[in-house]
Amino acid sequence: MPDILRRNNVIITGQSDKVILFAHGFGCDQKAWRSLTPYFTEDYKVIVFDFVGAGNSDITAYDHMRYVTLEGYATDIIEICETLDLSSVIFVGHSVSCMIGILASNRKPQLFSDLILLGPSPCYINKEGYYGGFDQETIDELFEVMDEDYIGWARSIAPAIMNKENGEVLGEELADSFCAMDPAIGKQFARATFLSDNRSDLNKVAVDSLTIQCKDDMIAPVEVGRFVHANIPGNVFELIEAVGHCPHMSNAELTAKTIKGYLADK
Amino acid sequence: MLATDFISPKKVSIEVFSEFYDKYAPVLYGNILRVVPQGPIADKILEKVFVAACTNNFITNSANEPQLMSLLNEARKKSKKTMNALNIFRACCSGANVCLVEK
Repeated sequence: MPDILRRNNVIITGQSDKVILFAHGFGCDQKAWRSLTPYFTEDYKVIVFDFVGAGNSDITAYDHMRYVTLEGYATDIIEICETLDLSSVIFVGHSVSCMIGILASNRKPQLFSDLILLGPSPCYINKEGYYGGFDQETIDELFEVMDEDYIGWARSIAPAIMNKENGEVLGEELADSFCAMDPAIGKQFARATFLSDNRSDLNKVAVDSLTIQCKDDMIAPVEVGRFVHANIPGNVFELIEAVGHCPHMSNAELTAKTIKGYLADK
Repeated sequence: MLATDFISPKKVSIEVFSEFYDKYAPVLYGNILRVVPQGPIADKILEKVFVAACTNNFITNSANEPQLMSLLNEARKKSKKTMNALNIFRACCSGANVCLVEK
């Protein structure tokens, strides 16, 4: 068995018995959590990691067959928890990692106490009677563009995505974060992400859960968040005043407050 | 970028292609840059427009206004498509309104 902790570049901080595990989304790595995790290190053992192909993970461990669907990534989560002998973990997933966490908890519910779903989407493409936010053509265009030098392009547009308050440093940081994914792996991860349809997995969730929905999110619109809420038994829904798909980066304080409020109310 | 940078899938003489390219590339490139502000991306889109023109056997050496309109439509379509995709990347990895400043 490969060294799981090295494979996924698992980093642990904090000493508590209560464990909170953060799973990053597509196009990011564990650096995406660094504004949020300081809110939890005092009260929790905080675990962050990189999916294989992202950040400082062991790229040689990448298996094209294993990661062709999100189930392979869910297996990674389970293996991390089992390697660390964890149970009752509070799982915080962003974007596609929400569904990865759901798949993992549906297979091994005893490993998790809660699923915190930050910008979840069980299906990004519109289907009959379901609004996912994207039509098939747009997703096909995304894959077509990914066949080009998209990392170079992303680097070139990084400064343009900042507003005036963000400054030059953040632009570099975002480009670096984005580029911390191997291009070939990024393409496969994009397909696993944007072609996934995990709607039927929602009602199998057997642990407590919270959906955090941003009010204006082009990747996971409010309708999608409400669909997730309506289909997960007992799910708690919080619509927060944050713009974009990454409130843990754009408004870490509010995101932390929302998570802590949910955990305190239990 | 030069006309000879493109590979034509159809049989088009280099002279005809060069004339076609010299005639339409500047106006097409200007239109692409209205949608895509970055030069390297605009270069790639321009290349795609001309490859599509070759593939569709669209290149002639006659002056033809409808031909220009078709090329412009293709350039705009490909530009918007590319920006849509890059906006998805942008939203995935950064959010639309990031305010993190610490490094």
